[in-house]
Amino acid sequence: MLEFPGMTADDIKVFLIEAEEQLQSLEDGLLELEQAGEDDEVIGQIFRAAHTLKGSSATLGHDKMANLTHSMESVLDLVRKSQLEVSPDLMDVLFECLDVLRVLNREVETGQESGEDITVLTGRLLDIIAFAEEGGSGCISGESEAGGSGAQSTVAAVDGGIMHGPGDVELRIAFADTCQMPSVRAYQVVDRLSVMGNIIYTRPSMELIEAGQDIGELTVAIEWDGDSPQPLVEAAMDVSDVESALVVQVRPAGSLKGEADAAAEASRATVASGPKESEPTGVEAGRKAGVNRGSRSATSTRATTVRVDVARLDALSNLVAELVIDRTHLAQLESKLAEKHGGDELVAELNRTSTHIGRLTTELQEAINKARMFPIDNVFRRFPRMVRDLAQSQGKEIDFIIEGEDTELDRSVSEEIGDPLIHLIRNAVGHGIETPEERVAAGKAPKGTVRLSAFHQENYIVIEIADDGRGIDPEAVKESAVRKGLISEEAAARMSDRDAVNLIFSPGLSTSKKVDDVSGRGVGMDIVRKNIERLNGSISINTRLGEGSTFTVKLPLTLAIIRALLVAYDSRIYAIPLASVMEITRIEPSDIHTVHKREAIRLRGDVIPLLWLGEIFSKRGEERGAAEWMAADGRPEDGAAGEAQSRRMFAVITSSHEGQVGLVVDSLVGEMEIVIKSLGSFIGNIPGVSGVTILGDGRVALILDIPSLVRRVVEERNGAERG
Amino acid sequence: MEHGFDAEEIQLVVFELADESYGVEISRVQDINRMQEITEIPHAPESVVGVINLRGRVIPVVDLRTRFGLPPAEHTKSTRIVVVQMGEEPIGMIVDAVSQVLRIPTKIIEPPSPVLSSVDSRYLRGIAKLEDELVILLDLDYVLSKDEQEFISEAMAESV
Repeated sequence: MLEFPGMTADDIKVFLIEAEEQLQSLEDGLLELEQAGEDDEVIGQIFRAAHTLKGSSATLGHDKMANLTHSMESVLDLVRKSQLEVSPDLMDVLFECLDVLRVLNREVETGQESGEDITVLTGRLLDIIAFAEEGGSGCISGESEAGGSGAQSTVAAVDGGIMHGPGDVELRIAFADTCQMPSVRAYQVVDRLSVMGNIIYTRPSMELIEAGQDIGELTVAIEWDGDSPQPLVEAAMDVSDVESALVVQVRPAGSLKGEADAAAEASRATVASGPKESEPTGVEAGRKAGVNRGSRSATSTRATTVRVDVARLDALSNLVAELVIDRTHLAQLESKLAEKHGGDELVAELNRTSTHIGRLTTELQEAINKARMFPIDNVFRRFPRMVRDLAQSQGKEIDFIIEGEDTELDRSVSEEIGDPLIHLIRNAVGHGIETPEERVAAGKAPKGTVRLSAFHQENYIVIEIADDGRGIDPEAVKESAVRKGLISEEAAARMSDRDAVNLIFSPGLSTSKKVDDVSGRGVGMDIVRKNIERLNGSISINTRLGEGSTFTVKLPLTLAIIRALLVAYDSRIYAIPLASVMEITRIEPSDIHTVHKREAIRLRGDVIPLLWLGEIFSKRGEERGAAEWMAADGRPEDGAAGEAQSRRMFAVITSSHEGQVGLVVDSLVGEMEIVIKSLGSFIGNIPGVSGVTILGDGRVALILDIPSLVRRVVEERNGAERG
Repeated sequence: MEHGFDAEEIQLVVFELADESYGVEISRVQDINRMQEITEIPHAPESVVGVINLRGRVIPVVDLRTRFGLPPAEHTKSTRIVVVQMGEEPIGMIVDAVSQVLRIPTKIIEPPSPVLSSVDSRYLRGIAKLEDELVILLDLDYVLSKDEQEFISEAMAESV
């Protein structure tokens, strides 16, 4: 058990959130460094991340993490000062450090010690430092130049400005936007300056800084007896995350102190006249002042966002969902009233109010949905590293491009989409992209490209994984499917290329010759497709032999609310997710063909099997299926127009990995947004039903889960035939 | 204490089922509703009649007669759905009628006896002997018995 004395659960939570951000920043930086080569800004980013991690892990009391980040920081410092070159070896060590840091971070999360040994890594880092210091002594003169370049301009401003000579110096220090803990940095700045001269005052006050208050800018006044204030500026700039240090004023010795005393006197007076609990008031005033000052700098953007517990958002979404149900109900009641008491002024007024409430509810729903959205970057960011490692281990050269990472989607979807995407990307790297030699032989550039992009399309988010690799060979897929007994040879011969490629979604098919580390973990494309369909999404492939493949995943923006087609059968209402619906067609008994004793219709040359909801959902013994309907057709007295109308039904053509199926229903009720509710654990999982929804009139309708429904019927039919 | 009641007194909601009186602790009862439209759930466990909409929540409903193997009965004006808390989930039970709320001393509760009730004694916590009637105290946690749960998990396994 790992314990951090003196740390509350909240402290640990804050640590974890920040550490995660820093680890990600570290990873992004390392990847970029490897890709783009040495870049001062990127090195700075990596250095800051390691440095911040060092600080926060030391505060937490996680010694291993603090030690490792300390060593990393030392190495990175040398890189930053151009005393050490970025070599592939160095990158590998740093990536290993990152992995170990993640393990150590998980220790904090779980409270369980991992037994990870950092001594080997720190040893390697120390070797690197020793080597650099030995060989790179000639570079040391460059140090001050590199470190002081930022300070140069500010000092120049002083030179042309206020005055020289000893006196009271007021410095204004600004921190970088990315600075995680400005208060810590502020403390460090004051700490450093305090050894150079007496601190007259700071704004915000030291108490506020130590209290960890968010600081936009720091002002420090110091008694200085040097000629130029430049050493002060340099000392301040030496603290990381300090973006600029500016000398605001230099006054004759003692003058600032007098002003400060007067100001302190004045503030004491106000506090005394204020409420008795003077301390909180002081803090409050300080905070306000801090924010005001900060508002001029870039930190103001931070003040406009707030972290909210997901549970609260969920609760809010649920409330809005109920409101949506009631809104629909209200509209229905209102139209019934209007029918009954047409010209009544009260009804007209009710109409206006209900319309207004309806509009407000829609807006509220949209606003809440937006609040639940966050960029898909959170899912994408772990992929560059994965692709790098995969490519390296397989000796492939890959340019991994991410586009549209700021596309937003619902939290619930983003939690579910990671695993399918990992699989698709692994496939693209493992099976799609060829080795450099193969590529050159095929007349392509040795370096392959994998492109991951996301964008919005109507109420969906579309994610594409495209590679310029070898593509999928329909003949190879067919061959494999025949060999594995999934399809017969005749069926394979008849099959179109497109259908053949789609066979890769069948369970038990893998075109890869061997089971490897890349995608042979027993998870096939069938699971990927299943998982995506479970989210009411869809996946399709576009591939050209020798040119590459593109997988397109389409997902609803949120899982809680979907668009559905409401249909009626036997006076019950069912909801069919619109993602599964291809089209709707009107059918009459004469449209029905019988294939192997099963009903089917022909639609533009395709034969589509029909499913009767009654076959699936009616109680035993009261099935209303094809037989009666078609028998009724034969009756001569059915000539009346009304009867003919009643014999007309609809086939909702659905599509899933189980194939196309026509669901026969009595009538169409309409298309609307429905709120998905689970059946709960007491009833459990019902095949064919993904949940229920409450309709505007308060009734409960089943939401059909098309793939599992079709699978179930197929199994039942097969069972019946065998039995 | 075999019935497991710690307090000296308990408060019961008493309902009727096939001419017998049953009691459940009032603290477990969330709601008592008139019969309303129930949406059937195909292939749900047999005693689960379906689900109802209770003020925006979807709640499964169990027919206690079916559950206890009693003969089915027509729903009447006095038929009620008693919503109880079962673990995390509320569950509705269809009963013939809800008759009263009673406060009884726990000392009049006797251990369940198969002779005194037509219901499987596994479901029972005890029998309260009042002056003019017997109230059978249900053990709600066993009303959804183990076999029933196994049935559900089997059905789920099949579907996968």
